[in-house]
Amino acid sequence: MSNLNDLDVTQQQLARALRNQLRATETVDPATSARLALLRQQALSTPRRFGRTWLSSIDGLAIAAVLMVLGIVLPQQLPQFSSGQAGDSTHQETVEVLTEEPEPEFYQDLDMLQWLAHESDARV
Amino acid sequence: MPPPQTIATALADTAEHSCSAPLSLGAFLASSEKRAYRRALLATRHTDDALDIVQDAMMQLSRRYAQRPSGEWPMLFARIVTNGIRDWHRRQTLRRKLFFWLPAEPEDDNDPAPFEQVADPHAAEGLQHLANGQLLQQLQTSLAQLPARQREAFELRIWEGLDVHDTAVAMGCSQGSVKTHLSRALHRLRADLQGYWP
Repeated sequence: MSNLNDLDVTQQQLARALRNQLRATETVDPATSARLALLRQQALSTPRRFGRTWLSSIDGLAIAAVLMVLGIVLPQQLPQFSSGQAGDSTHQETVEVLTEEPEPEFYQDLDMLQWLAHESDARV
Repeated sequence: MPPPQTIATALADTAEHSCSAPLSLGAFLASSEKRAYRRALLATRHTDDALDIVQDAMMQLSRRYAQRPSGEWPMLFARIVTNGIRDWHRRQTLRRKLFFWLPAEPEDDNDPAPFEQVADPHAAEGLQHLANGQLLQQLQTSLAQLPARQREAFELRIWEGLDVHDTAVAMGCSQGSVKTHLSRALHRLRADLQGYWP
């Protein structure tokens, strides 16, 4: 019986008496007993996890290796990853051109620009 | 394989396994399953739910901890059963919140109260037996009314017979908390069972 010395004397007496009463209840009817025995047999026949810690470390190493390969190879294979700043600046310029309000002189010279475009197309 | 009487004698007190010779997992489960079932039945009041909890506990112990020293099995098994009971209570609480309009699930009519079937071969006849029956019914009611942590501390420490350290590990709290919960539980049980104790 486990040590009950951390309890005072009256609590020890009560605890022991209650334990005896509860242990006396640990009987079940034959049908339940048979079901418990069946469940026990099923539990004992289930495959067990051997060396789970070893497998976990291998899994972790594999995941780390894949992540490392992705981190090294991908930036070299895909140029937009390696030249991220240049890509960002180009994108920024495009946005600026599209959102910029044109000056009034631009509309005044529109005919001239159309003529120049027509001339260049004709030469080609 | 030793005869059943030898096993029953050797496993009379689960918590003392650590001091005895190594046991097979089957013998350990055979010695512990009825106590686990009683604990689960006390918490759930449903035979099938109690059997489910015991089955899950057996499966987990067999699958995950069969290779651990047999001295650790009582604590591990008690912890798994405790967690199973706790999960059952959580599911019931969630179910009540989600399906609050449904009537409460009735208790298992086919199954008597957890301590009703007590067949203590050492119990005296007559009035003493009647008194024991009444005591057990009151004990069952009082245990069911204890706060969850106090009930866990009492069941693990007193019923299962784990020491303070193993109880703390099983409950996931400090040893001081175990002592506090147990002291409060015993204080309350003493008050509830006042008519049965000197």
